[in-house]
Amino acid sequence: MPTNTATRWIHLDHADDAEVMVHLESGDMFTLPLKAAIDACGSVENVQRFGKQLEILLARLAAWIGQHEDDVQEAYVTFRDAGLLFLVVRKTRKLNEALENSLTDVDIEIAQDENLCLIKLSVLALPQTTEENVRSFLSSKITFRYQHAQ
Amino acid sequence: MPSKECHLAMARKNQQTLDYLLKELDQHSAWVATVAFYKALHLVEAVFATDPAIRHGHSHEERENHLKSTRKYSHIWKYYRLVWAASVVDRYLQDRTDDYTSFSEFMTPQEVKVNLVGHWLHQVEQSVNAILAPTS
Repeated sequence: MPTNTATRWIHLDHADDAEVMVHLESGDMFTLPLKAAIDACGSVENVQRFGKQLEILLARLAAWIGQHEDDVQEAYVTFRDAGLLFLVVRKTRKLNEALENSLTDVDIEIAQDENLCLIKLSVLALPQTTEENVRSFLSSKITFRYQHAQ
Repeated sequence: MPSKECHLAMARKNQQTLDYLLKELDQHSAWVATVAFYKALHLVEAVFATDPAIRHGHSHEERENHLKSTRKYSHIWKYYRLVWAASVVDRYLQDRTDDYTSFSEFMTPQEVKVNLVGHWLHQVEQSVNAILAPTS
């Protein structure tokens, strides 16, 4: 592998009890424990990985909606305290067991997919109901609505 | 943390309530769905109590994640989720507005008896019994 001779490596070891002094571009400085600095690096990486996994998830759920559009009125992915909720609102009131089984299958598939290891998803199909009832399941902060589910 | 025996005892109590409500199914089919869900929950917790990697589901979400992400529990999840989903319709949609007035629009009393109790809950129970059965 070619080596870039200009790269200067700084090794951060979690076992080290040192403090890190950070010099910002603005001229400000602050210190923090080395362990916290390492955890912050990991968090940034996890945020990026989560973003990528979320993209994969949204695409997979969109494909699922496409296969069931005959009984899907609306669909959302909403953030809850313990993870995400894929909420499907059906066009009919009667139980649709085939749709429920398919929803369980995609739910298990996602939960066991190592490429989606940062995703904690619940799934729920509501029979046709009022907007108020639907809203009570949605986060007021972050909710994605699938536009093509009409 | 409750033991396996404690959860199985709670599941038996839920079954007694189910038996009572099933006598007047037309009046109480929605409650049957909810009690069936709590029976399923205790059955699952009985299994978790014997699983050193889990021991206890601390919330509905955590319990759910253990069930669907652990291959040996996928079959339980397949039917547990159906019971849970029906109980959500009962608990969160039934009485909220005049618009959705009757759980029987979602499942008829007969479907509750045959599908929900007779098949979905039965499948959960069968799987749990198979896991808890002593290996000789």
